[in-house]
Amino acid sequence: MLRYVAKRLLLSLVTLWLITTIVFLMVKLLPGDPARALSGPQAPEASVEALRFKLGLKDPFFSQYWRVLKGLVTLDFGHSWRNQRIEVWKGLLAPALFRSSKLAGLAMLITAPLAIVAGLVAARKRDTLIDRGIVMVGLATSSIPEFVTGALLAVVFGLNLHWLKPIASIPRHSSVITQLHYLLLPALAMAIVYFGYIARMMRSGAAKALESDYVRTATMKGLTDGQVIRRHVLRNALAPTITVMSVQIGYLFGGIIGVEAVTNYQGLATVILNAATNKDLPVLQYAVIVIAVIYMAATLLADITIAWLNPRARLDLDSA
Amino acid sequence: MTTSSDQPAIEVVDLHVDYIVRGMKRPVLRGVSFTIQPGEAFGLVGESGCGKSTTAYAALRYLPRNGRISSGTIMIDGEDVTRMSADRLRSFRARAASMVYQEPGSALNPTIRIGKQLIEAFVVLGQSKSDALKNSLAALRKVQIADPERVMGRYPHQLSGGMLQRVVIAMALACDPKLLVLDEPTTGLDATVEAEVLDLVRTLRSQTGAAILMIAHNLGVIRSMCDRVGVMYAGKIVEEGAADTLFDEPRHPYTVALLHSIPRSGMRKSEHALSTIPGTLPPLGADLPTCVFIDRCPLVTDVCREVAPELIDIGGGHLARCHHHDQITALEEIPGPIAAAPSTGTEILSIEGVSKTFHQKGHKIPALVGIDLSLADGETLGLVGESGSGKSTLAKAILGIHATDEGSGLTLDHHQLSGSISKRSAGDKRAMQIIFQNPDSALNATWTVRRILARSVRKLTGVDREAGDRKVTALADHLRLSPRHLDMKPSQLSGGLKQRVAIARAFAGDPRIVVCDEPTSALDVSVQAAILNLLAELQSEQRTSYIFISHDLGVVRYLADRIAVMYLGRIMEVGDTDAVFNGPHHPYTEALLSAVPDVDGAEHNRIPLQGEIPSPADPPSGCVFHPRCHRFIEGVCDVAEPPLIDAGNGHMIRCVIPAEQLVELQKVAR
Amino acid sequence: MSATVDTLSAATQERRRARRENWHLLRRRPSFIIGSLISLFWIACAILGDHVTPYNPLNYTTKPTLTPRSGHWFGTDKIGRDIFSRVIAGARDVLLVAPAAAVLGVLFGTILGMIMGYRRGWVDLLFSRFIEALLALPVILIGLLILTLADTSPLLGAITFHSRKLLVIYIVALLFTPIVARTVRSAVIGERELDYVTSAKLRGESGVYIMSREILPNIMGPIIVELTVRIGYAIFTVSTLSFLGVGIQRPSPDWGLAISDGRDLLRANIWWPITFPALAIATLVVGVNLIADSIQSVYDR
Repeated sequence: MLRYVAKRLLLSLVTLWLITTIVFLMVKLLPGDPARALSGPQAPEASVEALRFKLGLKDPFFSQYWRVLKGLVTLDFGHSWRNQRIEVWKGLLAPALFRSSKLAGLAMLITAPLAIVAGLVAARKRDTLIDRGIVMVGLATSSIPEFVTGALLAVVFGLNLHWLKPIASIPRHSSVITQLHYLLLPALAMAIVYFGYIARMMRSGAAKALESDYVRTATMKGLTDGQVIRRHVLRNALAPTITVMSVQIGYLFGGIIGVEAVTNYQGLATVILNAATNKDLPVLQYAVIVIAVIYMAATLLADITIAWLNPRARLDLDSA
Repeated sequence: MTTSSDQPAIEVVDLHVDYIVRGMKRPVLRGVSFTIQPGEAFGLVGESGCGKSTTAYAALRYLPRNGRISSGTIMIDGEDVTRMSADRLRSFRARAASMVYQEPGSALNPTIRIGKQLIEAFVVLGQSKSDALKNSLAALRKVQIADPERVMGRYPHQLSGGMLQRVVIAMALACDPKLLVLDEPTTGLDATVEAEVLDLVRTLRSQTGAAILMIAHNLGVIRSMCDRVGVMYAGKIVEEGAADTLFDEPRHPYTVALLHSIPRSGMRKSEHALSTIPGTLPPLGADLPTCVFIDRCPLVTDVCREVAPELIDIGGGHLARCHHHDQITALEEIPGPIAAAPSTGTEILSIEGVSKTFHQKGHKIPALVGIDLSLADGETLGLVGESGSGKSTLAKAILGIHATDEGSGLTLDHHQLSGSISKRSAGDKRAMQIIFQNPDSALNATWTVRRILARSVRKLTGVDREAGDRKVTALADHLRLSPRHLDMKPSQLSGGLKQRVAIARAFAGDPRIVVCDEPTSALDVSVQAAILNLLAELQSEQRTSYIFISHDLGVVRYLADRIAVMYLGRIMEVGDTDAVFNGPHHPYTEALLSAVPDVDGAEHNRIPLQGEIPSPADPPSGCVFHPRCHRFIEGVCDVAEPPLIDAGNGHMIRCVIPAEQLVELQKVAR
Repeated sequence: MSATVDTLSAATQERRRARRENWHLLRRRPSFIIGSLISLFWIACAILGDHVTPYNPLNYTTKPTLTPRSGHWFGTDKIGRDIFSRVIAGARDVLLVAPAAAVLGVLFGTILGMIMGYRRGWVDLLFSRFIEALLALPVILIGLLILTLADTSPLLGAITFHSRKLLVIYIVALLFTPIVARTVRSAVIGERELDYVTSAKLRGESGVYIMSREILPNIMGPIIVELTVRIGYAIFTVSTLSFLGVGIQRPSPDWGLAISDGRDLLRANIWWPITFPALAIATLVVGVNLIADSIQSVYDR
């Protein structure tokens, strides 16, 4: 098991290095002249040149690359291009990430148990109306973009029914309950989208387990349906579900931008969209890398959980 | 609950089961009735699709989601299984009936340790955890597992198929069941493992007194295990009787045909062609108002088309569902030999010191070690051995699919062959082709038969389109594929027809050598007979040489002129078929031969093999067979690997014990 | 001669029969019918566009932020454009960009996946690592990053002829390529172990022939399923990018853009400018996914 974790960790580091390199190259090679873009077309060439020096754009290619890699280890992402006094990590990304994580965590907390139960029920009642209902609802909700769901929820539950706050701009120093009240709408929007993915995966995993030979053996032993499900189906059906959930956590932080933008929640979206408008490339670059790190951490955790649930999974990596 | 001793363990009366396929009801069982007495073993045999497994699962009311018991009763212990409530059914499964399944590898939960799964079977009976643990260990000892504590801590994927099946058997016997259902319990296991599992079941049977319902397609297995046997065809039992009587004096045309299609009692192609059954099995759920065998029966008359025959007692509890059961002797005729063109003895392929080492994660796995063999034109060389012995690897090395190690020598018609197919000349590619085990995998499902054959003909022979088309038509005609079949896709053909297409493709370029890798293992015996006849005919017409791989010794004996026995990537014995079968044998061959249950009911003195096949990555010292050998000589066999020693007439045996001494030892063993 | 004609027609007939059978199964599924009706409706809107709308979707027609009423069934937006007309015409850009991106992505992904799955070895190892890394990047964010960079990139400007839509198509296609490649790769690996591939090698077929003629037809099922699923995701992605302001640009009546423009109005209790475009996106993606799901279950049968 320890060997497995070590190996898996090493693989993640390789992937992280690749990601950083890809993003670095993208930011480095695609734009023609970021300093000119930042300064505007009318700025005199001398001041643009000065900006180039200041931003380190004139440094040798590999020293820039090295700076990015080193920054990743020391969590020193340098300063924003727009406002040289603001540190990218401490001043912008870290607080935004914290606020977005609250939202994402709440969404997962709502959706994961519901979706797992729904998937299990659907598998048990396969091909009945209940099953079709769950599958169809899951399909519909998971195909609608988060910002659309957020907009519709805001209209229905915020403006018409007044149950939830349509705009999630939380007042400063508010209590946890108030915060929750504001957070519920964007969290629900995301929960609804991820419900479908998780429920469908759980359903297919459970359906496969229910038709397996080992469930037949368990049933023939004379176990009750509940015992069969708890002891033999759940463990095996959970593995693919956990994988999907970990992958979704990565997407969650992608989709969160839309939800935050539509409900005006002050999280990653504000920082990222501002950076996009202002061509503040270091902020964008590190935002992408940080979210990739979260994604990798989630999948790493998932793989370890699966290896713990299913001893055969440990072998798969060996042969890979 | 009252259980009187004269009450049968299970009584199935007029059982009908339907499968719902695309909203249509398809009958699968059409009125099956049988009874099994306590302590009796009843076997159901028949080819795939006859309903034997459905019967077994219906008996414990575990049908697929689309299966329904539409009528009939299954009485066990005075209670009708078809009418039990869910709760009652559960306690019935826990206490009164158990099952052992095909594919032990998937029968146990891969994520739970063996011990926990086994204990569960005892806890269900209301035992405390500690009692359950004690009983689980005892149960494992009972199924002859030497180290039960260790096995309890293992996960299923860490055990071999034979061990897993022992665990499943231990689990099944946990409740001391009244009825034990065995569904193909040894299918997919190697012959020596199969023999051990069957021995174990026999031993346990005498201890428990459970009634056994055994399903198997292998007639030899059923004969050796069961007191009484039912032969099923298209959802009905067509014949039933005591095992010996039924196999020795069959009274239903289907049973007769089935028995005659198996190469048995040392039958050879030079003596007889195999009998085949014309036509094909009726499709699932076909409308069969009268006799189910009517379309394929040689004795059919008007009465068969009008009146459905009943299962008639023809004396001594021997039942047959046939109007003409008294005319069966008319079918006793066995076809004549296939006109063989004997080999001229000219060597066409020579294999010298062929080795193949796989590299996996830095480990070297020698799959083939210094193989020397030769093949004459028109000759069939049989390759036998258990899984992992390297038979298929050798075939693939010869064909160049696996590039061989440095220093390996392959010579075709006196010129050196490259070890890799991509470096071989067009002529060399044309000279050697293969027939695979599974035609579903071997034929491109999206191509028509015509395209499959045409591509091979043109690619291998280089002829133009018109000549190619002519050749395809001729080829199809020769292999008795009708022109209609040419425009079908493989999925529309039956298993036997698919294999014919695969054979036709192998012969598209008039090859010198065809490798047959278990070509009939996936087929029913009646289809197997037709394919074996076809292979023998093609060989005698075209003087093709075969390298014939099979785990079925009867089939190899029927078809092969010479046989090589392999173990752990080495040739242990090679010689003329008669010499290998008549002895003296290598001790491994001796054990293999003794493991095969014979349809003729001949009793063998079985030689059990100790332990399991070692990993080829870490072969034993000296003779690789020594840890399992019953003739092991300490200080000799574990020191040096013996060479192949000639026991006369080119019959080579890799054993330090001289041939004369082997003859003496093996005479005593018989 | 007549024999060849016969066989040709027989082979074609067989193909048609298989297609007919799948088609029959599809037609019987209610989800397929509903999905098709929804999708066809929006495709019709995309084609007819401003030819059928009551007002010009791009020009203001009356007072801003009128509530829904007769004449302006969906009300008007903050600069007085008719929302009903804009919702109808808004189907065009997304239904042009998203399917094109999906088709292109599936094409690239299929080619890459086939090479990886068939060649294996270092090619596969290298690309697998690469794909693993790309999959860790959230599609929306990386899209946002590249589209932001694109404004000042002479390279991207040159290869897209300065067309924003073409740029979005390329980028979404590229973002989908690794996902498709992974699916195709595993399908190819499943096939290449089968004996018909060995048989083709034994008669001396080239790698390209085996990939394109032998394996490709056998993995068409998963590829078609992947394509329909990708079209749904492409609509999802393109609308989100437009909503975030980096996809389709103003003054297009695109739905994502409309929601972006209307979200400030929520504070003022003005709900109609974002509700109707939101419903439009929701129905279209659900419709497309219903089709994708039906096709998948027919192929998995």
